[in-house]
Amino acid sequence: MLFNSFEFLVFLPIVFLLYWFGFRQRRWQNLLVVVASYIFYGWWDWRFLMLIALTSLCSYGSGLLLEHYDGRRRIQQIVSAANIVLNLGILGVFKYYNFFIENLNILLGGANFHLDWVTINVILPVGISFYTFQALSYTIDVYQKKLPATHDIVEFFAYISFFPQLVAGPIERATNLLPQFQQKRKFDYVKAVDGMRQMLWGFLKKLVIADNCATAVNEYWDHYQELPCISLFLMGVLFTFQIYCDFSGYSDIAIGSARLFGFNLMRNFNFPYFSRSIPEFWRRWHISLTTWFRDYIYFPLGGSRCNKWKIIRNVFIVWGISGLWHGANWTFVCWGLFHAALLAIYNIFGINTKHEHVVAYGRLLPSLKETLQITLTFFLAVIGWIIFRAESMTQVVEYFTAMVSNRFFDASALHGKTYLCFGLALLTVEWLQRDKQHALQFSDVKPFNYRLVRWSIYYTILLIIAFYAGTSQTFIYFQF
Amino acid sequence: MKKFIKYCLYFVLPILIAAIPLEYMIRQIPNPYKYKYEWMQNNAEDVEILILGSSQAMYGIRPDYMAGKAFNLAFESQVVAYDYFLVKKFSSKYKKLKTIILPISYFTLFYRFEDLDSWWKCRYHHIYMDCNYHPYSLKYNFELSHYPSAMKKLKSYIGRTLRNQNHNIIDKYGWGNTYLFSKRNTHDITDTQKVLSTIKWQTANDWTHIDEIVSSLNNIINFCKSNHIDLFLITPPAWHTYYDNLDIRQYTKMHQLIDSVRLANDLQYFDYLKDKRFTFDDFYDNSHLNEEGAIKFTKILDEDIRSTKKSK
Repeated sequence: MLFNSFEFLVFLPIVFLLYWFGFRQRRWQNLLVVVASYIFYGWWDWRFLMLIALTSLCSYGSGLLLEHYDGRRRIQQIVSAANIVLNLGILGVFKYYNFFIENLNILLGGANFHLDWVTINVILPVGISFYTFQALSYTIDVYQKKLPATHDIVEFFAYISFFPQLVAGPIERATNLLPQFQQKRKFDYVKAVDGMRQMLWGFLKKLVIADNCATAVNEYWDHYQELPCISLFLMGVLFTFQIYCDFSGYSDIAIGSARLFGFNLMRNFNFPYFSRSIPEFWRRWHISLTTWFRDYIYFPLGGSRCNKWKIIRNVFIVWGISGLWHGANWTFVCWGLFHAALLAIYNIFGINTKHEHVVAYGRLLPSLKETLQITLTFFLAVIGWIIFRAESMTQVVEYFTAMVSNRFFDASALHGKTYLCFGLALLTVEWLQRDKQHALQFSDVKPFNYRLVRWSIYYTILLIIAFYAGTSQTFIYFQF
Repeated sequence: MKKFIKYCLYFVLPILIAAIPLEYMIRQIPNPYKYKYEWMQNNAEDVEILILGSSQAMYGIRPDYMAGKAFNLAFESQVVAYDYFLVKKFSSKYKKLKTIILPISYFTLFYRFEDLDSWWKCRYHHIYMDCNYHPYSLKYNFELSHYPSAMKKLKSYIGRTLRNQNHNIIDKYGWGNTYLFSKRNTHDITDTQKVLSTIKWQTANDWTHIDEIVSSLNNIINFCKSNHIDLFLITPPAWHTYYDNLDIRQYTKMHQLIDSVRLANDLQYFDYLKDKRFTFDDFYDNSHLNEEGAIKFTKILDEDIRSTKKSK
């Protein structure tokens, strides 16, 4: 089931009412979450419910075994490793098997040895990378004694399959979400209202900006041979808006709907396009994934507590894996390595500053220096997204070649200008609200204390959605 | 909690109040589904030739150029299950029906309507043609359940009214009359990237529904057999940029399926996909004919059907 579907509009209120009125006890509420989540997921393809159940069962069992063999480190290592291998094995078969075989085939092609016959025709289950990582985080945390193993299978299944964040994150940590399933939930009016606002903002981003930008990008992206340089860059900018509004819009809807049920999911986006550097960008973009890689791969590799060259090595390892996580295509690996190279450069030159506050804190406008930093970061992000959007490495090379070799400007070929304006308008609103959790969190601003003003804004947003929503597109991150 | 629900209801109430007249207004806009349904309700007993299928047939076959009273009941993206629904819908009314033309396009045997990107078009069969495939689904029974298309329809209607333009996009026998030579963009025919993006959505990764789709096809065949109606399977013409780029695996499978059905039921199948009689000027885009191409195609098809019938 998609958030931007009619079914979800019916599904959410039903589950909400059942949750707060039908099942007041915590355990029953957890059971309802599991059932609702499996319906939510099964709506897309019920066959893959088995896969989530298997992943959940393995991680649950591993947790119990880790607890049972407490003190016997060797057995715990085997259990933990077996669980990681199994989960990554499932992910590998569904997501990377054909990619691996195809590349092996190319490699062995020179020796006249072909492996075409071993490719398999499988559909990639939606959100497999997300829930696999969430399941892995639980067993690793139990292994590292950050968390006791849970004995309640229902609450564990609810943790893995919690429908708001099941298919595209935020990738929750067991240390944050699981205890919430273990506590009695109380309805919080303020939290629920804020959740609704966040959902509304998410829908606006997804339906108006992302879907419209997608239409323009999908139509003109492949015409890179003919389009002038400026138009090709504009396509890159539109895709930059599209992916941000698509993914952060999804996260806003996920976090907002979780709040309706009394849960606090971790923040996934923190206005990343206002970042002053690439390291800051990655502290603000897909936070749940970057922190996952940081905690479970980067830190165990030594993190930043080693010499400069090892730090750079670690960065490249993490970003190579991160690229591959996004999809079985060399373009994603290249995108990951591009960002690794940028992070390494920032690291070498020591401009990896952790800013305490958002940009232009306490001011309306940024300074000239900040403006230049934000512009450079945005430009680098656009370059990265062009690599990410391309369908093959050949297209990456041809696209960039066309950007420098095609004519520079042609006013008649500036497609998608309107959507660019939409995107800029959205960024303007987000700029004004950049120190908040989301753009509609305006309870401390005077005129918005009046319900009439607030509701007028909500209705205006709904009208904008009704009149300017683009052709419905699936969420980009579903494919990951 | 009560406060939250109370304010939610207060908030939603004006939306619902606005949605009801909006839904009603949109349903009043003239559209091909409504027109064809009403036409069939009133004239099905006189129809001798019925044309089904998707946009290739809707825009490519002109009933007024066929020998006999023909009607075009094809719609954009329409697949076999919905063809069967339409055949059955008016089954009690047919008195003179002798021929059914069922186009099989490249995607027809691989997709269910509900799984296509243009799934929202199948809700028109429910709203305007009394289709009962999803009787209790809100998604398939309301215009506003897919508001981008509903709003587009409303905006287009208002625009046409203000410009004093004709609202009809089909002629009186159901042929779609908007794919005109004068309005075509030759880029849509020659541009390989555009063709590839069309073929991309028409190429199915998942073949799990083939049996279900072939079963609908068999239902049409059985209906024709039991009512002594001649069924002709056809594949409409396309420009070479289109057929040169088709996925060979799906294309081969499509022919395997057609052959097995054809041989098992002694059916006639005419494949015009790569027919060289159709020139560049006959096309509107890479896979659809324009008005002149439609005349040419209809005459060829009519001649082939008649000569086949004669030889029987």
